[in-house]
Amino acid sequence: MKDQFPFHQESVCTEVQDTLEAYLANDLDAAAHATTTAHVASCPRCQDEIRFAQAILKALQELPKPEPSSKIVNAVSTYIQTETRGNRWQQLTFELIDTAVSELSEPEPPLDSFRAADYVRTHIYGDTWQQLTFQFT
Amino acid sequence: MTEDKFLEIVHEHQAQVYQHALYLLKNRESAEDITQEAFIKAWENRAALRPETVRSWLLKVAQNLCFDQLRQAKFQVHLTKEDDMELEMLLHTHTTAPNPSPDEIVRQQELKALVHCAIGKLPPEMRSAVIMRELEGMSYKDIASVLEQPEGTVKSTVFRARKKLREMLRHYWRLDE
Repeated sequence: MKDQFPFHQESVCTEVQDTLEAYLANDLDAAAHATTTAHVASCPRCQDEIRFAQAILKALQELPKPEPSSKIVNAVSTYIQTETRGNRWQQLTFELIDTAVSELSEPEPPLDSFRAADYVRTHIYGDTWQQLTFQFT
Repeated sequence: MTEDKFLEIVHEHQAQVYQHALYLLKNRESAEDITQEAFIKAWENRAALRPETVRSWLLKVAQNLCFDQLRQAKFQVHLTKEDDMELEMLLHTHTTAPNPSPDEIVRQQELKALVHCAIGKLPPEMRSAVIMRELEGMSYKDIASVLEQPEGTVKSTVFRARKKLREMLRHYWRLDE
């Protein structure tokens, strides 16, 4: 088959076949496109190469598209639920800590001993202190 | 974004992300893990996701995860027996030519199987571009945003990938001559 093609013809074939994909996608400039069209019209080898390139393109477009299993949706859904629940617990914990801290920090405890006793009676023992005081007086 | 809204996105895009990962890694289990990871990353970044770019975003993340796996573990491209059987079955149920002759059918199926194998031998970046373009039917503009390359570069990569497949399979095509 090679003998049927003179050297210059071979080089044109090589050039055409190098750019066949761009040619088939109409992506060559006008001059190159016209040259290729003219060459292909009279070259059985390049005509066959075009059929081959088209067959490959068709095969690519028809490759199998396997469907994923349900594992993906389940795993993502579980992750989201765990994360959301985790965030809710975290939020609750922060709220509890905030409340505890604010309760502990106010009002400021007094410095002198008399007022300190008064503070303990009022804020810590509350009613119990009043009952105790009442019993001993 | 609510959980329900996000799960709609998962349902809409999981097949494409999974197929992309599967064609890059050639391993069902790894492809599922990568797809799952991509969606978890998407959930963590849900505040920044836009409906018009979510597909590109997911494919970009999945592709980077696949490339990491291919690079780090020097991942061996292989098909499990299960994948082989499924592929075999799918290859025999995807002939769409109108009234092809029996020889034609056999030849198309053979070529499809060979193209499928040959894709695995392309460099990962080239494989990714040709899969997005020809199998997934994406526009060059969308592929360019996934690969973060100019459209012209993407086009040239796709053409080079198809030419490389032609070179790899030429022997098969010439068998009839």
